[in-house]
Amino acid sequence: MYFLFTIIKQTTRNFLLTWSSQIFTLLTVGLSVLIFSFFYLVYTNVIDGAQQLGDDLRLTVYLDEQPGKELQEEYRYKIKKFDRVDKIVFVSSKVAYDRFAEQLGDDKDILNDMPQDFLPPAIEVYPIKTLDTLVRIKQFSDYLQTLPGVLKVQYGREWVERFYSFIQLLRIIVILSGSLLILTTTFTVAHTIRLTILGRKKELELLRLLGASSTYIRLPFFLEGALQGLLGSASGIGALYLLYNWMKLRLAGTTMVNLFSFSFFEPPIILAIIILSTVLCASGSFSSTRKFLHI
Amino acid sequence: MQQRIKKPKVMIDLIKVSKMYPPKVEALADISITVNKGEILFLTGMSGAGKTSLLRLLCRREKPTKGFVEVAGEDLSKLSSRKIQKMRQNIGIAHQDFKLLPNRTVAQNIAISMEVSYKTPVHIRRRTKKLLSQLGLSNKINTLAGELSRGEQQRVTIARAVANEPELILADEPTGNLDSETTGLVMDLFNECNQKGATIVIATHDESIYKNTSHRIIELSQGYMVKSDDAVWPILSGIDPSQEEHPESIGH
Ligand SMILES: Nc1ncnc2c1ncn2[C@@H]1O[C@H](COP(=O)(O)OP(=O)(O)OP(=O)(O)O)[C@@H](O)[C@H]1O
Ligand SMILES: [Mg+2]
Repeated sequence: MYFLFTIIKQTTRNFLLTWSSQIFTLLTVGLSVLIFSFFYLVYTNVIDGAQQLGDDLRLTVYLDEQPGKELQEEYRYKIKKFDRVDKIVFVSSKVAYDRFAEQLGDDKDILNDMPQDFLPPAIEVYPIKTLDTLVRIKQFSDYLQTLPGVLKVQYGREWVERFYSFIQLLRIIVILSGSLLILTTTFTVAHTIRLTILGRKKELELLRLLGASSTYIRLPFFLEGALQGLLGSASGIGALYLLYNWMKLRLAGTTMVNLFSFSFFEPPIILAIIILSTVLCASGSFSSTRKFLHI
Repeated sequence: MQQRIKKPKVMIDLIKVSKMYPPKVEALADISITVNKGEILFLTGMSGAGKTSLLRLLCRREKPTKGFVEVAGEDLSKLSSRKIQKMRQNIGIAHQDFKLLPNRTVAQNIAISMEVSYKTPVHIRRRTKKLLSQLGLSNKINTLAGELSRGEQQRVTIARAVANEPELILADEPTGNLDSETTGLVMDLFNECNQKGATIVIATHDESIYKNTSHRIIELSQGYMVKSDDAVWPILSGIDPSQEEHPESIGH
């Protein structure tokens, strides 16, 4: 049995026979993977970034008067009832005053005439840093507003909402480019396989007369599709990696990099993208042989 | 020899076979032929007599309109496509129109018939070289098939037909483009295959190859069998005369 050798030989022949459209297919698959994985990379990093930027994610609840120990416990209990939180800090008027003075620095003289309790006491609520909390922050704020003795709830509302819709947009782009990836790869692969089949029509007829098994005839086409997926997606990811490194070099030292610690895909994700594209292309070629190869 | 006799002796059994092509071409009519294992049969007749049609039925390229076609004891109309594939790997066909792949080399064209049954590359190379030297084509091994003369192409077709050492060889007009000396090479090759046990059916107009033969000759005319020269063949003895004459060549 020299099964594998013969099949591989046949597959190589197919590649050489229609090499120009093979290259075109590789480019298409590679580019689709590049586009998809680019947006996906941005998406995952933005989500990671959201968690790092979570410090901004703070709700300040202003109270009408300084709560005593018992009341503090009650606030704590009620806040935790709504959602899990990272921490809750009570800020008295005095502390608020000191902080403000510190912020003013050299200009703190202007505070000299003010009473030390002119700022209201507050509770600072730090929600746990996940995207989920980001989505529900408005609800959280509305809930806090209903607690007794609350004057006002503040958070970086505009920033949070913009960020949220940005993530939604990214999500849509990732889904779209994913669909594009699926469509282009399956269609172009199916098309190239069809060309190969047509180009080898005479030979396939002869093979049938010689008693070639359907495995012998079909498997090379299937392998051809899978190989296109493998090589195409690997080069797509490779290109993205180069692009990533280039960007990193260009942006080194600028605030962009410090703001986001931009990182590349973990190996399992790279593997998943490559395997998925390979499976897609193989199924594209499979459907093509089903349609155009009548044995 | 003892074992050979126990195996089913009949290679081809055609029972009242007719073939009509649409709309109303009667290519074969009421043909009944039995060919034993190890036999060489000549199929003669004018152009259009139905020789190629008969060979096509034997490898299931066509189905008979009426009657039964049995090869190696199997009714071809009942075989699954898997079994047909297996059977075809055991039938070597030299097509009248060659069916070579013009942009492959001679060696590649011959290799195909062995590749489909996954022979090793070493075996394929050795076998190809041997056949080409037997047919006087050694110097053409790497020439593209499309660049060969008709006679050379014909010999490549024959080499491809016998390469996989099939049990049944169907040769359609194998010497049509060959001079008498080259014809001799081809017939020697067929005889060698026959001595190793192959059954051979040769469709031909070429009187020179069956004129002085001891093998059976069947003549077709407009689809009908007109002459069957059965007497020469000792059917009932169950002994292959060609093997009887050259017992030392077995297992060669
Ligand atoms: N596919 C086909 N469709 C219709 N008619 C066909 C077909 N193949 C063969 N025929 C007809 O069947 C008859 C027998 O043809 P066949 O090819 O078997 O003859 P042949 O004996 O091989 O002739 P030759 O010696 O010229 O090769 C002819 O009349 C031919 O026109
Ligand atoms: Mg013919």
